Amino acid sequence: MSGPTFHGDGVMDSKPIDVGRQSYEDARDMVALGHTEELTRKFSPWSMFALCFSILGTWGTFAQDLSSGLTNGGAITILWGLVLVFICNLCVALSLGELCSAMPTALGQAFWMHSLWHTPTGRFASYICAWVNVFGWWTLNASLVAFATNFLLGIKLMYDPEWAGAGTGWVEFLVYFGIASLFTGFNLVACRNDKILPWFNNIVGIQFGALFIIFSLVLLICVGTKQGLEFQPPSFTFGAWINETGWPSGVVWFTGLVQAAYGLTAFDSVCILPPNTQTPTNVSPSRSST
Amino acid sequence: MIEELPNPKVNAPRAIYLSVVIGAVTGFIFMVVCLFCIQDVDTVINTPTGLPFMQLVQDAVGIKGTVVLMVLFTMNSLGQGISITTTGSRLTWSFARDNGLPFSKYIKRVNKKWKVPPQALLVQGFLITLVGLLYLFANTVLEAILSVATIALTVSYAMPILTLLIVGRDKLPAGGQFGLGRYGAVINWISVIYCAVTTVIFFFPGGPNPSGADMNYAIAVFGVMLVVAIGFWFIQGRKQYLRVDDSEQVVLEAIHLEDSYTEVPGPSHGGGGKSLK
Repeated sequence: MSGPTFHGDGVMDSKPIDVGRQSYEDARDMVALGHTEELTRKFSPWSMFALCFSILGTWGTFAQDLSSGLTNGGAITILWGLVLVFICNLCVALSLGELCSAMPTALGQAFWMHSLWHTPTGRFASYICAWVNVFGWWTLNASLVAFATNFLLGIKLMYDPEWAGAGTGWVEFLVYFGIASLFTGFNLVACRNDKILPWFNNIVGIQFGALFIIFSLVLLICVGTKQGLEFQPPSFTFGAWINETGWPSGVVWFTGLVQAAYGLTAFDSVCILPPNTQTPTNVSPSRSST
Repeated sequence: MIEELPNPKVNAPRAIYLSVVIGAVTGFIFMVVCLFCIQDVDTVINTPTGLPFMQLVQDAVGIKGTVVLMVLFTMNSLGQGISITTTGSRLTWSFARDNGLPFSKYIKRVNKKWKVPPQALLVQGFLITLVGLLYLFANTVLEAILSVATIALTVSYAMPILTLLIVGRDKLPAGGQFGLGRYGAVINWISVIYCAVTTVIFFFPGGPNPSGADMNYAIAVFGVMLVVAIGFWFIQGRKQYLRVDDSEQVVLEAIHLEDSYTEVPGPSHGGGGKSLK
């Protein structure tokens, strides 16, 4: 980035003096970033919500993960487990929201830990939290690539159930690699114009909502009108208990919650994005007022 | 966002809880629809495509309609993936900016022309591709790595909330505009307990006494992550992570002062301005 201010003098500078200089330069970097990051400042409340809603991707995740719910308890865990998970996850969301509102600063969760627990142990815990969070987002990213891979190959399999290609590792890897490259490549070029990313998020959010309506209506209309298809009775939809796991029922009630939990995590995207959307001056008010 | 979002300290929390509420409501309705429309549970669970949802739709809609719907669905997933890549890369970048990652100085660079942290994006893309290589020889490990995502995120939510409870809720910095008031402690405790319980359940295998291939290796992957994190703490984190904090503060406050004299518009500056007057 900014040439002259960027750590010109060697990588591993010796300690005491350079710490100060480095901090100064880092701070300047942050200021510079405050300007370069103007892209994300174009996020309106609506596009922030669209981003968070589509990253959560609740109904889509439930759809992708249907087998887990169906074998681990069936309708009872899918629906009533979801109610329980929703209440608990809402508490988590509110707690994070409170922290985010008090400290809308870089690094989200890890930074909050550091600010709250200002001791050497706290710094270590914050570091571990940062790694766990980063690993979480990397693996979430990888799992979305894998989901898309499975679905693309699944579409092919629908037409050609005998096709052996879907099971071969290198075909899967090639598709996976293509999708991962698409994600990275799009992001590399998308910020050139400040409007692209928020608009893209708006479109994905709207599309995700529209698909929810389309899927629901198409399913209901098809089953309602087609010959030979019947709706399940409400006793199945709201009360069926299916356990194909071998665990006792008490355990299955809990393992069945996993599906609901999958669909309702990753709402910290907003906590992570604001740091980039705000100039570093936002650090000051909370500290200077103490 | 400062310029375009009337008040980020209100709107960020609102975006979080609204997306959870609307996500859960739409998810509930959609699952009710699916459960009504499912034709034969056994066919759906044991589908040849390996994707029960696809089978469910195919049974109801027929193959042509399903392909159209699934292409739309997959396109939408690609869009979501791009958003997740954006968020992930910004997190990677901000962790590097705080000198937490190896090669932080390299990763934290931002390309001014393209307005992105290209190195953070590429490093992340490279690591994700490495995970994909497991398709070639170790599907079980691949699945474990993918399932760790939710576990890691859940743990990262619980950590700051538990910290808040331990240090005391009164230590929460002033200035937030989304307080939980007197219900705060209860809500925090429910969150922590929920995260603890689900984290344990996430590590459960699909059935009791699993064979080697059916074991849920997420716990091992999570262990490796912790070892990596602790290892890097001793290699570099202990010396460098967040070390710039205090003196950076001086610079930031100086800049902040400048800004408040030149009256740069924006709510956050307004907040600082008040404390200066």
